[in-house]
Amino acid sequence: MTNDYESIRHADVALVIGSNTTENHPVIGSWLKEQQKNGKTSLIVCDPRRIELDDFADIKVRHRSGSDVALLNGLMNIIISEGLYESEFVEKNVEKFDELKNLVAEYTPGKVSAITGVPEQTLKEAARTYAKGPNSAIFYTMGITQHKYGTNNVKTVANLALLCGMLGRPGTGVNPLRGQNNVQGACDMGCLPALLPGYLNIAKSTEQAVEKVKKLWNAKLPTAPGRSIVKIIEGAASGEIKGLFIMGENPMVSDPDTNHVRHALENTEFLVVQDIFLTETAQLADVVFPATCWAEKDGTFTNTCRAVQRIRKAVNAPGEARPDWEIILDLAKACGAKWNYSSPADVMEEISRFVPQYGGVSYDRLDQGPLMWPCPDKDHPGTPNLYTTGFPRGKATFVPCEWNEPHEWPDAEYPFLATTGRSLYHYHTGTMTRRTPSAEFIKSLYIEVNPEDAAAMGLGEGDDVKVTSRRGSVVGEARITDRVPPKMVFVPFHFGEQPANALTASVWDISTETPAYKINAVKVEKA
Amino acid sequence: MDRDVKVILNGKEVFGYRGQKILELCAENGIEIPTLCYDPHLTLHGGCSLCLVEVKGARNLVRACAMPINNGMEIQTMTDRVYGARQLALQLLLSDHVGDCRPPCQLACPARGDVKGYVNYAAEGEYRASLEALHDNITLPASIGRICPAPCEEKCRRNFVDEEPVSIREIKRFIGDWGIASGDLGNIPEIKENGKKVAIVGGGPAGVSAAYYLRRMGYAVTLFDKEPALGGMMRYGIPDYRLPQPILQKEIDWILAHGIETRLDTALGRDVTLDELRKSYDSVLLAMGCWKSMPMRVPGEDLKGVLGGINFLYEVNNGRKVDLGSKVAVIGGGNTAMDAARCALRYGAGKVYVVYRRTREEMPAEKMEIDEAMEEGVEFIFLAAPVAVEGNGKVERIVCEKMELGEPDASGRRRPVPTGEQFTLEVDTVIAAIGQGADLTPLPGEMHDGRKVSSDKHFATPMEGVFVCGDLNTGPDIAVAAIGEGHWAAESINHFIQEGVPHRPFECDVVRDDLGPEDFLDEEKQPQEHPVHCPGDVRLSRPFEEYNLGLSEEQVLRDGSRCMKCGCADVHECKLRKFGTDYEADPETFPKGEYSRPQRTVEANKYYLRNMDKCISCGVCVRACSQQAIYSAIDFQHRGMKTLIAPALDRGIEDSTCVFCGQCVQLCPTGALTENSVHGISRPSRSRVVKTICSYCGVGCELNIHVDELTGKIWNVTTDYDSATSMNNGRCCVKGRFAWSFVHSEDRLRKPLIKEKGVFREASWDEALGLVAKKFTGFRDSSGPDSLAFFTSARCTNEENYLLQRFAREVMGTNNVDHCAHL
Repeated sequence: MTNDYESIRHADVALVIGSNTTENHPVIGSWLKEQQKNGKTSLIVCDPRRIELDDFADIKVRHRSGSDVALLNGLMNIIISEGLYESEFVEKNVEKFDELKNLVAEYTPGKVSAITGVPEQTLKEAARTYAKGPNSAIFYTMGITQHKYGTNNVKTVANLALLCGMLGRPGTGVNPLRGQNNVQGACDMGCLPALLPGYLNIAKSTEQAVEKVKKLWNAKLPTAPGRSIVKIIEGAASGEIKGLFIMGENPMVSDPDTNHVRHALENTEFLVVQDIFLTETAQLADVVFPATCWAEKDGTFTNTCRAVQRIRKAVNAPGEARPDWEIILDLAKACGAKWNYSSPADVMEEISRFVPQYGGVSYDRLDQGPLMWPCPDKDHPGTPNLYTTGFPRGKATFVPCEWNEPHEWPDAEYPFLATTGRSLYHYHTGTMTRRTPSAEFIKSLYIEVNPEDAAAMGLGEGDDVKVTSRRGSVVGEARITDRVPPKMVFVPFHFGEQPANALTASVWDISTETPAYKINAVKVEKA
Repeated sequence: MDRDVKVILNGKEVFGYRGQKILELCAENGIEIPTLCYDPHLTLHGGCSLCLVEVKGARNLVRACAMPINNGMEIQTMTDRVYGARQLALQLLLSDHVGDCRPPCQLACPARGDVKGYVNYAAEGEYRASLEALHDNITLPASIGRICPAPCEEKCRRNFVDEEPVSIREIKRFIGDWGIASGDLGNIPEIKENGKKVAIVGGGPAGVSAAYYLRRMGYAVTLFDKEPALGGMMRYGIPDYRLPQPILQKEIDWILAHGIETRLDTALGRDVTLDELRKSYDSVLLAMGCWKSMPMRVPGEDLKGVLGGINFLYEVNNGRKVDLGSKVAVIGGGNTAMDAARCALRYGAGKVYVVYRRTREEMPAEKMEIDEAMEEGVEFIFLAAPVAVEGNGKVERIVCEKMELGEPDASGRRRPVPTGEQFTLEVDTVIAAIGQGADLTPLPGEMHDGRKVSSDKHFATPMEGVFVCGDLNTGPDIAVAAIGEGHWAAESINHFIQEGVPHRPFECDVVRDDLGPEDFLDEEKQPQEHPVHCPGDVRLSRPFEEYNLGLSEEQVLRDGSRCMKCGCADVHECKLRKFGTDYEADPETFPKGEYSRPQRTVEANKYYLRNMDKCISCGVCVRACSQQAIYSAIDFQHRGMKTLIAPALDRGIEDSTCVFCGQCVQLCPTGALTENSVHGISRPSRSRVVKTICSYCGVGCELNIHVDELTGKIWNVTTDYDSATSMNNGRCCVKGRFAWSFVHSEDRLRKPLIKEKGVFREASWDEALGLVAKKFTGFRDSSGPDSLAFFTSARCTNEENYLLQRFAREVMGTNNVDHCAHL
């Protein structure tokens, strides 16, 4: 998020796109609802499904799945043609306005309405409301990113915010809501093949990277490009990856095309899994390390608004389970490393020297409250809102994108569209929530089906329904609801025994390798 | 806002801002105003009428939550009128608050042992926690667990299901024995000395307990006893076959190890005087018990061979020889009589009679004691009373009169009426066990009326600073009552020394006394577990060895699980009960209109319990739902006396729009809404809070983890609306709030695993780490660093992610490191 939570209180308009906020980020959902209810924020909700937030929306934009770029380009078309954009801001801060203007000129309300299925009048209202602000914020999540052209979606979201100058002030911003507790931190910590901690690009800033690693680790940095998850799985399948170490992930359930993942992991010569349960993935391992869960260790998580926060040990770990950091430390020592940390605080001390954005982060300060990065030094208060004084590179750049049809689209054989996602009551691959009261409340896979389709199939509430894609099929209990539009089904992915990812394709966004989970052509039948 | 409004608050000048409510001003100035319906995070409701204060010039008391301050306003927050109004408001609320605060077993226990706590901890195998829970109220559990008549079991509602209670006493004994066998009765806390001294005279269960609880509060305690060993009646009045002295001694030693000084062989009036104690100590507690056998008041009572019951047992417990002859008559029907009769058998008497003036039904002795005495061959003569003891210089016979039962007397038992018909028993010894009294000779006349010590309900005697408890206060009673007396007297002494007036803690309990077997028809039957007892002949062959072998561990686990967990889960947190206690509001002041009304539902969903019987209509939950969760899943339904809070259209919660964020549950001031996920029992009596961040989505909500200090396990997760470090401002969702029990899941990984031939086996850390290091360095060196790859985790901490990528890059030499950022 470019902005913090407090910023939500200052938004005159909130545009929510591809985010089922009340289910996936319930507390942020509650703030958005509260703002709308109290008449402080106009809510524009763009989602193919009639999500709960849609019930609160001032403007309901039910665009077709996979039409996001067209929709957003269409909004920009209206904003430019009606002269509603922030010309002074654009002139001063953003490059390539003409390129944007030329491209979106093609996205007339009529054309966009045809692509998205949204009435022209609704498009206009949404465009005008967002542009008017005075402070408008955009919120999005996986409904934007988990597409083959997810990067284009994100760029287009940014174009819209830049066009209207909706950055750098409380109440504005481009705010992706991150799905996992520390996905932001894992990225910040350089757990990406091309980037060192603090987003130091190994290929682009090789000299600086090598120097830093030499100075701080007294080690030689490998400069050969690393493999991403997708390429690691591929390498495992082909035998190029011989040793694989998986810490606290369950790709057997979370990754696309379950059968392919199973083959790859089984084919890995030596698989090590570190987890708190014997997950579907851990069962395939050669060695399993028992780790501690969040309540059993000290450390930090970095949340979706870049706030570094302390987690604290509350209870002892069961048996001989140990915190992940201790296990890695001992493994490094067993491999001959001369590491010397006695606590997570020691590690943070090193992080603060490695990662410029964390330069001022320490456990002492975190005990006083969260710190939002960038926080370059110990006197810096942290940065709730980014870009308040301009952009780091001087000027931002519009990156106009054309709309492309999704990789797969319903056809005669597979006439439905299946989208995957989460339920409020479960989390990710269910290893934790399916061992809590939520397991009793929602026991197994359910599939949301529109009443029209259900009637056509003779499907009743609670009947078993089978969803089949070109990759595989799952069977779940039908939930008949107009939250999904006709010819669309929603399949949550928490249930390893009926994995939604049996349906999904190994299709990724080219630059981020984010899987295209949101669109799957499927057939739906009574089981 | 300018603080320009001057207010005289309890006589002190303070400043507030315009529009500020009296209650907020009070909070700022450290004055707590009781309220049940006000919450600073919600709109005003004003329904509970507890926050009343007195404002000068106002005719009526005003609601502090709603009344804004004015310049020059004079406010009194604690006058008699305010106290009375709040007490009345609480009594009215309590009259329509139906349920059980504490379970019936606990209320039946004179020491208020936390039965539900220790029984359920035991049933969960948490023996250490069970023992600690016991020690909170019951000082000598292994000993009490052998001799207590267990009034708790009589009230146990399991009787409604199985006609047998939970084996509370035996479980208590098992836990006490477990502590003794493990050689550790519990950590002795570091005691913060408060600089005050208390003398306790009498080291029986009352004195020892008082010493323990006073010591825990920081008092320097000296325990005086006339005997060479502590334990009082438990040592000198109860034979070893029921309570082996080493057990009692170990329990007492553990209490003394808290730093309690003893002065043994020191009798009040003989070795030390009350005046001396009063001069040297801040308070004196008298707990000398009842050691005088009551006379039979029949001719011949002074003959040689007539013994007092307790005097005889005293000799037995000192291991001294007593020549009883071959025939003994024991007079009386209490436990002392049973002990005396059975000891007489063990001392060689060939024939032992128990002479009792009523029938077996009316005998005050415990049933088990009577049965066992009979099994051992004691002959019971019912409906008979002694009229004379006869003999030439020593007892030769006792003359008794036959009795019949007449009208009930004051004790509710039918009165024995003489028939005039007499009979004679030829005996060598008569043991009179018809009652005991206090020896008042060491006490000044102003403290007693010749029969008993004068005291008030706070254990205070007419002499300032001198307190009395135990049998000396109440007359002869069971040991666990003495333990309770000691505990409450200790509290009263503490109040006296700290606040200047004696005061025993007020107990505010709503009680459900209308239940019967018909209310438990859904409960599955499961018979009680019984301990192994040696048969009578074996017992007599090893006369002073313990014969009750107690329950096995399996039996304890089974029987403990029969507990139905009566009582309110919210008992330690309920604000209504807290204020009811603070304001000494008697729940019985107003008649209970109706017990549980049918429309007041008790509904358990997967996450929490709704018990509308306990709802006080404060509306906090309704406001929390609409103003914090923004769901409005519940509201006031129906009108007038039928008003209740529920989802619209009479739907259940699971069919409503509720998303189980639990904010209503968290803010509910009573037990109307309680978390379902609480471990086993109810909320624990001792808990600590650890602030941390939720491990689910990326919002990063701050959560309060509540850890049961006795088990070290999580029992609840809540949020803190007022935390300065919370980014979620107290809000949360169903996962953060309720989805944490996986932490203590049975199938957590506990040891490293190595797969061999497709099967996992447990391994040591050294072996597992060594194997991974060997394999990985092997691949690195033979196939090159890029034959290795690492998935870090969006679930793990920054520190862990940092270390794993460092390991991959530095130690293994590869950039093959990524995580599931996109999923």
